[in-house]
Amino acid sequence: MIAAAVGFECAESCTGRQMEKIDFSRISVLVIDDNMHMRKIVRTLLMAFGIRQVQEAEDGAGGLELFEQMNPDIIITDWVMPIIDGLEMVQMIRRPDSSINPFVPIIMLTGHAEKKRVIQARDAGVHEFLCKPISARALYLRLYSVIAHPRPFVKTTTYFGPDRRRFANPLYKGSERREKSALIDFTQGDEEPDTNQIDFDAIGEEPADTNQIDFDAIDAEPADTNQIDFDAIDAEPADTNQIDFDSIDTDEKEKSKERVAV
Amino acid sequence: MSTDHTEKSDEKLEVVQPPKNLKHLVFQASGGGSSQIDLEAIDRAEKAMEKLSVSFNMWMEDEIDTLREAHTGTKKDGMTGEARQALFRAAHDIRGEAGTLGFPLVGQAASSLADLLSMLPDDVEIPDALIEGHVHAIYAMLRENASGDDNKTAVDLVNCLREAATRLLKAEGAFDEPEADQTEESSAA
Repeated sequence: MIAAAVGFECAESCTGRQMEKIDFSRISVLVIDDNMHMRKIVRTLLMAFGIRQVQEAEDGAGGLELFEQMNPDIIITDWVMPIIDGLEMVQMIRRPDSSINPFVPIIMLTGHAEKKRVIQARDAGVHEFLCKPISARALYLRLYSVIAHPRPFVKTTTYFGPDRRRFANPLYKGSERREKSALIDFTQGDEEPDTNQIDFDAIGEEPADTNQIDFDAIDAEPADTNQIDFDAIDAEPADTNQIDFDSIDTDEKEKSKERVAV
Repeated sequence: MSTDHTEKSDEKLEVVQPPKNLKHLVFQASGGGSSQIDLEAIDRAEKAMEKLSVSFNMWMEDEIDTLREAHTGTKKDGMTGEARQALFRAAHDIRGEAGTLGFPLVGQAASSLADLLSMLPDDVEIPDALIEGHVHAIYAMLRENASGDDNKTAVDLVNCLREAATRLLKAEGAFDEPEADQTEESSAA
């Protein structure tokens, strides 16, 4: 729910109840994490999904080097790493004038779960935010999201990255949709009706059998949360990536206000 | 790649369609898909994780060794600079990894420690007892294999540490109050 306010939404919300089956065999992924064990876990999951090309780097500098060599289809990166951290690396990759592929989908996989971190990641141009501890299902859904629901990129003087609003709201009138959403998020106890909420029973799986923080993260703390079932505030029908162009630059201009609001 | 330019009063905006569409790669290969979440793929991945889990205790011990080394470093060099960063990174790694490795309570204690180290500025003194409490709690929980909420002592210990850390963070103005709906979100799971 909160995640939607800052532009990250769970893959369930993006996709609704049904998802098309994906053959990952032709996808290449670059995994960047300074923790050897985490790299091994992610690689194991990816290969079990059917991904055959998985490369690993142990820091941001190595990640950039491999990125230029292999030009992967998707990047999964940690945040906290020595020398060049994940956020700095994302910022370098998102430089349209110097990067070999500034559009590459990036999934930030991190132990950070604070709202300000999620906002930072989003504003650096990250597609998806996945909070550790990781689960097979959560990773699968993030991969599905970046593949099945590619978003156009927005370039302004201050931002280059995927459009931070995933859905158009044709009924919305006004200029500060995201800010409004954020305010709703934190001031109302009742959840917004969410037509895109996945029905986990329908797919035969319980949502919360682990300590997985399954979300596009935000400020829930790993310490006291299990899987977060948040609804997308401004989620629209799942089969569209239509953009609300009228309010895009408002988003850019109102970012400072938004941060306060969120 | 196609672009759409929008000119507003003070900022130029360009909307660009990414040139590569991964959909074509995966859906062509799968012949259009079956409109179902691929539970088999997830199941396969979970089984692969189960196989991997025989190493998890050993991995956890590796992480604890790193924490121990970093903690020793801060005792020697003080809670500043690279020594502090090393301790933060060790705690942060455990925060991220412990849940996956089957030690969520250890992850919670590490998270509390990582918050202290990252949210407080260097010039704020963190009581040694609080740092030691976190570090030794992590050692103890791993030693006792306290892996879940059924271990009441471990749960109480983690709650106590978290409470003490939160109190300090609040006193130093470094703690953001949890939002009202956070609990609801948590329980929604």
